[in-house]
Amino acid sequence: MQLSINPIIIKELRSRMRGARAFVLLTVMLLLLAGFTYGLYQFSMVAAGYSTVLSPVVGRSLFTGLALAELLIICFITPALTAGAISGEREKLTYDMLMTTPLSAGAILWGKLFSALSYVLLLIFAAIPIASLVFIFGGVAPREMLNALLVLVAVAITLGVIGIFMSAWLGRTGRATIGSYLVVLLLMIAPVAAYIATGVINQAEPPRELLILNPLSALLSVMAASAMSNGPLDILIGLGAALGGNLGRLTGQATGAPRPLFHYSLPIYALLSIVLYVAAIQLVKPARRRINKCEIGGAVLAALALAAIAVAFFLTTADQYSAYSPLRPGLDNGVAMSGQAPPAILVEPPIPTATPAAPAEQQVDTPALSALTDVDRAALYALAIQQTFAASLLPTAEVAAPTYHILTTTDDTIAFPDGPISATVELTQTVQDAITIQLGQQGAQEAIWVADAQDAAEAPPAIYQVTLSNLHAWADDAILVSVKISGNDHAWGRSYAMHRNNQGWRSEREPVATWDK
Amino acid sequence: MFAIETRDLTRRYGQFIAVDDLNLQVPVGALFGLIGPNGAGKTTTLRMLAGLLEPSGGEILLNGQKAQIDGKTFRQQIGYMPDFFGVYEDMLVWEYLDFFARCHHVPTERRRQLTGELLDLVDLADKRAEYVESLSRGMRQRLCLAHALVHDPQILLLDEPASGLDPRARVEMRELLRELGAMGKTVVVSSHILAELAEMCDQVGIIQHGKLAASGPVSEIARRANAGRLLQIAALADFATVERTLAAQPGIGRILELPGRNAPDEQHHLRIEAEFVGDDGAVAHLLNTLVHADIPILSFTETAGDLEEIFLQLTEPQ
Repeated sequence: MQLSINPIIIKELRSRMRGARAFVLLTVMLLLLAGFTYGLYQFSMVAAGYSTVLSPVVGRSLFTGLALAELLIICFITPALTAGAISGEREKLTYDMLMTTPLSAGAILWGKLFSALSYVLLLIFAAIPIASLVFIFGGVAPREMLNALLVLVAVAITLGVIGIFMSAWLGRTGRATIGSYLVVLLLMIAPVAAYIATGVINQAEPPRELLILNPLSALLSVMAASAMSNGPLDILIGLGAALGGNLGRLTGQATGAPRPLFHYSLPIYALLSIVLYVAAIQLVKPARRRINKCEIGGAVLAALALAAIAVAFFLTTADQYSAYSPLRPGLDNGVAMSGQAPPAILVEPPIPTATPAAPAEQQVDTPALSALTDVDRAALYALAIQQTFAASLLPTAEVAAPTYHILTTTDDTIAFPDGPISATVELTQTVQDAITIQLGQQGAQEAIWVADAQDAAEAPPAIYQVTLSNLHAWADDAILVSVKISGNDHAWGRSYAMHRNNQGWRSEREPVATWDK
Repeated sequence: MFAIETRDLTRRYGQFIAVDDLNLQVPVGALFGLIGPNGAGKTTTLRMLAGLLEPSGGEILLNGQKAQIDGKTFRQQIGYMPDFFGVYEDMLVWEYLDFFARCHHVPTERRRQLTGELLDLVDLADKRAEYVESLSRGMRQRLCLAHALVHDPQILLLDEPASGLDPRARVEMRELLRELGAMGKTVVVSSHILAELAEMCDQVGIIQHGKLAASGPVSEIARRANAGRLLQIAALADFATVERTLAAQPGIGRILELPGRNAPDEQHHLRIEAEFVGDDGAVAHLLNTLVHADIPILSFTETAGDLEEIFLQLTEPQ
């Protein structure tokens, strides 16, 4: 038997995409989304009229708003597309004709689901160009966007399966549609209601696990929480943090699971989909509900595969979420120095504390140090600059995309008093270029390499002068990097101990030393 | 060997028994008519034969082999046309057939050719690129028949294919069924009108309350029901003469004069209906006797019997 496309898909797509209807709907939806985005942008600009607004904050608001809008569209459209899948065939009296063909119940369901979802996914993917406007403003990492997309697709699939199950179960399209929307409503409201009720009754932060089933929470949890406070826009961001189960991270009193909620939501959605799909197959079969070993085996296999993937994922990412912590630079949401740009500036720095006593043990050259490539060096410097800048931002929050003037020569005297000292050296051109690129990816306006320190008073505002230290070996195979950033009549110094992990470099939670002027 | 054989086929819906120990035998290549009043169990029987409904008891044999519901061979051997069927909106006639051909895994290169052939067969070739919705009821009926043929099944189950059709469409459908019979397919047609099937079916089965009331060739069933033949004689003579001659013959039963239909100015036509028990030789002998008695015979025919009468007789409420 030759491999061929599921005939149901061909039939459904032929009827669905015929004529202007499908394209008109798509166009209208894109226009609405575009209008919504523009409105949100205007709103943020008006809101910013009284104070400075951070471009990443705008980007984040747009992203949150767009993602929510798309989620609502999915919730509205998917049940409508799938609730008639089986009941429609029964009502149109074509069901018997379909059942006398050798198509299996599974193939029919799969074809129906795929064709309905392909239209929903078309709507989602068609909106990607609008969503990518967010990158103009920054504040959202590509990974966050991918995760949001993943959650949207998963929600679409789950709702699609729910619709098809209702259609097979309730028999009538009208009833199936109502049933599906009720389930969607339940998923949306019940967890939030339970969350709020628990919170009110206990007079405490409710367990955020209550929100796992809520598609809204799953989507919002994709976005790392941010304490950035900037005008009315943080209504959206605050809402996102609250519903996304990140409230605790903001207030610093969170308990429970350290992972973003969608890490739990996705496997649960997948499991729900598999169960409902198998149930729907049993309902669709013409004869007595007979358990087919093959199908049950397939379902069990799918569930096992799902479990394996989930376990593998949870194990491989375990080191990023080993302990719950309030937000820290460089640690939040698995952000580390890797190929992707982290949501650079939006992390909340810890309030600088007393400088811990620095260990005095230093070696001039260690294997860890000599193993460093130029790329490593650049990554270490760029991460240190970014974190120091992020740490410095809160008191003077003004600039989202800073311009750095970086000294080409290193200077160990900028570090803490007892720190290791080596001779001043000139950074190689390769390292300089690599740092420039990395900083650019993190949202810096510009990185200019200068040979001499400028007088701070002469430098225009929004230009930050950066001095880098030499790299030193530190305890536990770590590398110590110190950075001093000055500008706006302030100067901040940070020394970070950096560790190598599978994605690149990440720093220890607390700087080894901090000093601000 | 029979194309279709059922043994004690039973189907219950709760307390209600729709099909009750039905033993049906359809020879290979036969055009079989399944007749019964509404609610007799025709559709239930056909749906079980098509593998859409699981029997509560008994078994179905297709070409001598026990058929398994959900079995693939079941679906490859049988083409089924339901009594009520729908069509997909937004679909062209050829796409409709193409869809079902795909469902039956007809290879791509064959599909195009096949849709052409089938549309020719059911006389819809000129409607190829029109929407299915725009077809008339008769055309849809024929299209639905074509859909049941995409996988070239040896057995065709047609549930009331002529219901709701006007006389012309009915004749066309009948022609089509004869053509299929000529192609060597075993065709089972259901109807609640005996006359509709009598002239084209080799065999009929009359079904009543889920049981088979009678089965066999139409003439045989009629004879069994009447226990005799019904002769119609037209002559240019007076009733008394003819009656006297007929009554003298063995096997003659009731003799009736039928009202004349001719206009008053014409010569009087006598029309007589007589019941007669005897074989073909006896009928020939009877005609011979009448002719020798110098009765001017205009016509001498045996009617198949009043089919509706037989039907009512066989299916009267118990």
